[in-house]
Amino acid sequence: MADVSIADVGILGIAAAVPARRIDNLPWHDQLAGQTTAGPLPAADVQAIVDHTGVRSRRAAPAGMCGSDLCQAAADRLLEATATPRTGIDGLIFVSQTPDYRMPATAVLLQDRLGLRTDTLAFDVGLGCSGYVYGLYLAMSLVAGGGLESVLLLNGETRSHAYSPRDRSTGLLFGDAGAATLVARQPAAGTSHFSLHSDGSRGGLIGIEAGGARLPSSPETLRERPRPDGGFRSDEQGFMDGPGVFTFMISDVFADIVGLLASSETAVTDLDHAILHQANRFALEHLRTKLGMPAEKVPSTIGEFGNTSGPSIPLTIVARLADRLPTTSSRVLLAGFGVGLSWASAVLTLTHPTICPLIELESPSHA
Amino acid sequence: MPTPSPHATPLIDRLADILECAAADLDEATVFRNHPHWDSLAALSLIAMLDSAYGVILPHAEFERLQTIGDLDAYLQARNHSPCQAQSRQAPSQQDRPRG
Repeated sequence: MADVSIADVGILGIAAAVPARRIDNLPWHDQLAGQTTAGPLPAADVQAIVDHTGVRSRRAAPAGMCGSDLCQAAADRLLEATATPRTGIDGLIFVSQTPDYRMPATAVLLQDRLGLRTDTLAFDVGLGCSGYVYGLYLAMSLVAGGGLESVLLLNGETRSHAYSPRDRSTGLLFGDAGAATLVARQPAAGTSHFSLHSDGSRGGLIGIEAGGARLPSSPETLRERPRPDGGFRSDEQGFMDGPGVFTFMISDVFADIVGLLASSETAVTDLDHAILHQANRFALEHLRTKLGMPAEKVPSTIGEFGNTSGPSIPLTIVARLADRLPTTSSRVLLAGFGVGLSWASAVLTLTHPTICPLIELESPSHA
Repeated sequence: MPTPSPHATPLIDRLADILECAAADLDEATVFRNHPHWDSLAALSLIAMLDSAYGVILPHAEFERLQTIGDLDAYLQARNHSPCQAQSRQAPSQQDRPRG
């Protein structure tokens, strides 16, 4: 669609949480290889994957901890830090592809867990790596035109459990995180520009085959087995076509960013920061170089936290920009892209946002 | 081994880098996917190299069709090293809009 603008709605604050439990990819895979009898990745391959993806370590939620718990911890901290009463939140959007349940919607459960009013609007959005920018667009739209004063955008995932450790393309890539973003009326925010896209014709590049309505779970879908692409996984574990997705990133995503910068009359040099979805180091470096942006302006958390899908943009903001953002007004580019295929970019101003220190969650707070 | 055409030589050099082998081991008949060092990481490096060095992005379906280094070279020549047309950004016209 043509680019859209939203005026005078801004991000008041961001908080993020990760599980305290950390997986260091190389030793973890060594240990796994000793336990498996079929399809382990050779050690040299694991090194090559770590070098290429850049994921040295990532966080993994223990059993019983969900993306919603990480979001809840982040939201609790954010509401306190911004002195926002819980009764002052009009809407809650939970963006995830690893929700607590197939039903009810996790957002509604979070309404209760966070102590929000029952006349709060609450719903889930089933998007992944495009989920933060899509979520921001939705939250801002609800404030700008939907009669709401403030919206809590929550992005939470526990993808560390969604992939086979022995699958070449995905096994070492994903980590868990949850983030909370407070969106409200803010004249100083000026105009936010968004560009949003969908292409289902390439839906087969990233996904999980079984466990939904199309192919229900069965003993057969739980069986891990070798795949034509050289991978090793069950139908219930995620797959990804690396080359297809990389091509998408350097063509469609790149073109979208360039187009949005043009239509918002923003030069690359006008940007203080570009926070891109943390897909993998190789692809991010290629994109950054192609955009002509210096490394100092493009923060990264892929090495430390892996690919956390939707939460990766706010996680990167919290982990890397907490010192700089609160004291100033910053013009930033955000770009989220991936599963769907779904992709979205935004150019917006962050005006003295509250950025909470990163939370490390040992156990779910409600457990 | 046949002499590679003049414009294929830089391509062969770049492929030798990606496949971590000697350029002399490759020629236009080489099926790059069958090379012992070919894997998904090499595929990504190839896609990246074509973008950086030639400004060309292979649509995924096209990439699957190319088998030999000669195929790659022919593709690049046909595109005359011009940048890839990524999905164009089109706004729907007023006539496409639903009417109340």
